[in-house]
Amino acid sequence: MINRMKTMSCWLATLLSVAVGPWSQTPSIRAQTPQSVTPGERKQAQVEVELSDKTITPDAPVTISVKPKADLQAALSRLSGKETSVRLTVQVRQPKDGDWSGFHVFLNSQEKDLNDLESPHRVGSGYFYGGKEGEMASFILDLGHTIQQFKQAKSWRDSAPLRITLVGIPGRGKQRSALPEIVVTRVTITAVSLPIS
Amino acid sequence: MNRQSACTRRSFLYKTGLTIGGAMASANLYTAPVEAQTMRIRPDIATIKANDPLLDALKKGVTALRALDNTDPTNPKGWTKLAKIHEAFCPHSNWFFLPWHRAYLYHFEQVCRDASGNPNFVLPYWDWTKSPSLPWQFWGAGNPLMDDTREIDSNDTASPNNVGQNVIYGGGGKLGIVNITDFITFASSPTTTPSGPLNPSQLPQIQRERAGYGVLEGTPHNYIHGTFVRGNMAMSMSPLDPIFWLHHANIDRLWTEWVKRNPNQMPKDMTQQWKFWYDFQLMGFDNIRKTGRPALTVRSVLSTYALGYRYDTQPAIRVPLTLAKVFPSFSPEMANIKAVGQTATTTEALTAESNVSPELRRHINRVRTVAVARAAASNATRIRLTLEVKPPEDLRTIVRVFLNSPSANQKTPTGDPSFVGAFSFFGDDHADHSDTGSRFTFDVTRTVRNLTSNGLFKDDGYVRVSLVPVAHDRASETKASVHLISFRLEAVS
Repeated sequence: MINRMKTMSCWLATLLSVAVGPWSQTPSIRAQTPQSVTPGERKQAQVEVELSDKTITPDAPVTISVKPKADLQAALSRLSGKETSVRLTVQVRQPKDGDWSGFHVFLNSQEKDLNDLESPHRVGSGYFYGGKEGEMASFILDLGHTIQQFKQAKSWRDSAPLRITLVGIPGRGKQRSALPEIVVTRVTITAVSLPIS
Repeated sequence: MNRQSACTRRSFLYKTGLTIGGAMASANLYTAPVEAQTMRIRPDIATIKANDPLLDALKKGVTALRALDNTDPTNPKGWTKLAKIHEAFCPHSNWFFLPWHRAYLYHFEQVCRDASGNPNFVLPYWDWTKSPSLPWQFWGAGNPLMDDTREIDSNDTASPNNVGQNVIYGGGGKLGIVNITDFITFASSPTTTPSGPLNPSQLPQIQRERAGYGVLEGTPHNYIHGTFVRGNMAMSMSPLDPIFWLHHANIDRLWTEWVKRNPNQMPKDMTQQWKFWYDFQLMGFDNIRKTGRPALTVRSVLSTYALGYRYDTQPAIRVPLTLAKVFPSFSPEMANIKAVGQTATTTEALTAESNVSPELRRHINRVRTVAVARAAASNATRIRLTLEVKPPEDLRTIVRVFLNSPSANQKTPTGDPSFVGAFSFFGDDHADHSDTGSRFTFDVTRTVRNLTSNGLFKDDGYVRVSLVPVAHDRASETKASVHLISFRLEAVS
């Protein structure tokens, strides 16, 4: 147990490599912050990608590719059971009410998966409610289960980039082509050990 | 229809762990409000027929509250005023989302009950997983439960991709929202925690700080509000649509489902940040709170049982799952302490004293010297206290338990280092329990450490347990006594 704790504490420092889809701007890489990690938890690893006005356009989803360094790889390789949580936090700029309902999030998906909401690649969805147009809205999703499913299906490599794809959901009665873009400002992946009582 | 629980003697005897904070007594997580009452059961609206008195009561209550908008516009219990509480105070996208809305429903249920004139009124819930169309009871011209601003009709169904069985409960390769182990991912993000002295003027802002949606809030909750129903429901004045209350009752119910499935995952209040959350006083209800009732904190709303209600999907009694997991086996050093057989009353607390074996004393002293953080991170020895008591005549009596504090009485605060926890007897039929007691179990490891760190632990080979009954109300004081049959202290690993 003690050795395990020491190992976890060694994972604290994190760097990452980021590759972003060809249609996007180059993101800046931001030093890790303690966002979404609370005292009592032990943070194993975190990558945070700050994006310069990256957008989900009406015509195309956006894919953000994150190549984790060793500490996140190690955390993901040990992922099992209920003791570790992998949080994917997506921060977007709140659109005008009614334009967009929200967005779906997929992991390592192909284009064909993006129309299939039952796909094992779908991590979840974030929906807008309340909030003011233009203010930041963050959504936390559980990434761990999706990764574990991939592991069980032997379709996971710890060293491979994680490709996060966001697909906009138009508001009711809205024509996709008539909508403005959704601005994505930050994507964070955090692996934490939970404070099991 | 009587929606108050009636426990049989068997279920009463089974209730050996129904402490207030019983399942998580180790952290003293739950503090019961004094107004604890007979358990009310919130039903699924799909089970409510047209001639059900509950539906009639709901309509009468909503009609009466709507009428206040015209007859008494400044009345804080008027329909629009109630919605304005949400507009002005509701926390969204942060960790106060679930507890605040639980408190909001709790107060609304009382307001609506009074307005309906039906003392048995309880708030139903809309289980959109099983019944994805907005309930038929909420449609129709002239129906007080109707809201003309909705952008759906009665045949529209919520998407199973957001509220379906697999999404909520798991299956088909999906984890299920209530199976997410991580409380933050499930229940939304922490807000700022003040590091220095607390400035009360900051608190309203903190309550409404947008930190990050958890999955329960960001997916089914937001989807039903802002995408499916829309109209008033998409706005901050969403409680104007009566379906708001049933939608949030279902969110509240899913929180109980999460607790049921993740009994060990509730963060403990060991750190400043979590203490801040547990002790945070939920704001916005001063004008609708019943006279004499205390303001609710996060801690005080963690258990629906402590608030006097449960959902029909919750067990009739709270099973001490956490203790069962924390204490998988007894150590051979378990020490029994003899029966005592005395009665505590509201005017005279009872302190029972017994010597402890050298072996148990050694374990207690070991516990006292282990650092809290180290102990929490390992399977270290814990000290467990089991009380066997005969219930009082008034089953609403709350009994506070103190360790090694012979002078404890009704004025001793629950923040005292010697405070162990409290228990009560919600919803039990008092007819037949004269021969056998009920058992209540507490983890007192933390109390032992609290006493030690405050220089109050007297290592003299004796242990003293004090019981302090607290009456439900002044009229019940003579009936608020509890008879201690025995207590037992043991070291377990």
